[in-house]
Amino acid sequence: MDRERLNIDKILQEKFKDFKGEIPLSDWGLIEQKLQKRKRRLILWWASVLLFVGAAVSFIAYEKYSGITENSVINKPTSISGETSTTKPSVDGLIEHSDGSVEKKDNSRTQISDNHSTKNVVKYPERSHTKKIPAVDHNLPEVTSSKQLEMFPISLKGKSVKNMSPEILNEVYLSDLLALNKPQPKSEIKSRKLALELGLNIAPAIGIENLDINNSKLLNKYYFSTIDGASSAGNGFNNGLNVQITYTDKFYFRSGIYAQNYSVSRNYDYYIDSVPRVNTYNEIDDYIPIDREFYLYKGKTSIKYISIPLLLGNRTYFNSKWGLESKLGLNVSRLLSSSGMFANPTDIRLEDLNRNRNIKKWNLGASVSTGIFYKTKNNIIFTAEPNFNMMFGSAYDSKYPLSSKNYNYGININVNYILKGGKL
Amino acid sequence: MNNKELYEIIEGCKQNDRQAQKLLFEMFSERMMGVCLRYSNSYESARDMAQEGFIKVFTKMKSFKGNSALETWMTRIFINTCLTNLNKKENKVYHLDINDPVVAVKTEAAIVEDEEVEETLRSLPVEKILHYISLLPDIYRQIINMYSIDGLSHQQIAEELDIQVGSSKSRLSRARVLLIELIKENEDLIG
Repeated sequence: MDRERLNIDKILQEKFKDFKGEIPLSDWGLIEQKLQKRKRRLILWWASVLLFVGAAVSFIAYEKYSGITENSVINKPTSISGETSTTKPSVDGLIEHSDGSVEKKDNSRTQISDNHSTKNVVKYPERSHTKKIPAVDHNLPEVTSSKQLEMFPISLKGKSVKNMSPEILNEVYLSDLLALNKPQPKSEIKSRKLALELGLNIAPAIGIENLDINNSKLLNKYYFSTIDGASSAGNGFNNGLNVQITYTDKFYFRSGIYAQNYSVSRNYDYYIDSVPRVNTYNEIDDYIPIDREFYLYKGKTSIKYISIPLLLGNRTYFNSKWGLESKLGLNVSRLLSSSGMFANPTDIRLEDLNRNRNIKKWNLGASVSTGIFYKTKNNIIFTAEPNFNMMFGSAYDSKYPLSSKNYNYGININVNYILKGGKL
Repeated sequence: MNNKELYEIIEGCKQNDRQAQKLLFEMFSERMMGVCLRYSNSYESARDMAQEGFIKVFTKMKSFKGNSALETWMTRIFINTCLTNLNKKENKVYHLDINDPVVAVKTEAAIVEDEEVEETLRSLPVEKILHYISLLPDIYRQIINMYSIDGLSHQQIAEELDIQVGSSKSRLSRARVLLIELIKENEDLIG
């Protein structure tokens, strides 16, 4: 208790010491419903987070351990009989063991294992005849089945034909070699048109706030003019992770999760010595004098959102590395937090922006950018592009006397990694 | 209810046990509704605040370490809920009836030292005082509740309302004057 407490305070405290109010017990039902709703929302939120993380982890794990992409199969040793072993078949029909020993391949064991290899191996027409591989300086196996022929293109891929012994080359049909350059079956080409990319987006920007006054909703017009001219300057950013599906290396759809921020540096210096009195028609009758209150604030107000971009883009290659990238789309934003001090337009007192309940929870915006990209050999694409972000509506809801539209102009720097597909 | 039973209810609430939550609601609903009635200007908005307050209590129960009495901890949550709700209002301005007599502005000293007023205040039933408090503009109702009834210091109020300590003092001073003027006008005391 401090010394400033007067008798009136003590009387009031005494009077309300055991004050109770009646509340219908049926209100428990309403509270229970709200708790249930909240629980469901929480479950949904966590489920979607887990789903997203699960999908990302599964995809990465699949990419890393499945080893069934076209290139990896072609370049990796194919195991015999589907067994996992360090033994690999060589082009001359011998089996090389990891300890360096060489063994002649037994025909009865020559079974190119099952589905996973046949799926990825280019099929050739069955031959009605087979030829024996002539003996060189060691015992060479006989090629007795068309299955064995299928081995050739696999083994030839990535090896220099020049280094092969003439005996082997003689036995490799010209058509087999030509077949390596044949276009692949249609279904496979189709699947390679699509590519999946993961990326990081960093977009620092200069922000501009368009502050409009809705005079029909602003009660305290005269007083508001005292703070209306407060100086301000802004900045912002739009950073986050993205997932992208690219079609034929040219067109793409990009989405993800971005952190979006609109900031304005404010500078208030004013005082108030009266406050408006409003009648039942919501009109100001007069001003009640109060002890003079001074307000001085130099600081930043910012509104932070978490947003989901929905972007469509185009990449035009100048050559195999460089190109022009353009994209445009929508941002669906959910308010995360707001901070800083803001002069309430009605009673002119500074208030914590985070307590302003008139800031809209959801907002829709747009972004457009165009710039240069560079693609490395490691399937990483760097993009730098001037970027423009805006919000369609005001940051405040329609009841609020002020309308604040935010714009950001900046540089969008994006790094994407092609996880799968495309013209690799 | 003994301490052991209360402890079990608190633990139950921490585990989100509905039965325990219901028991807590039944135990404290009237006292917390009293807090909400003091801060709001209508019964309906007080009910809304009370519901919201209990939801906050249940969701924050895990953070209750027992450093203070449960009722004190809950009261603080309810006060914050009421303040948040009052801030949601579209315009934080004075809503006095157009037909009300204009409140004369006098110095505080002339009013607070009035023994007749103190005597009247003592004799008035709490419901009537509540009625006069509910007629005060939001910012004055807040301050008189926080300082005079809930016993918060000006420093605490300034932090809670994001205002300066000086502003808290001047608002309180204005709130006392307005309240006493209201009582005088309506209780036929000579002003």
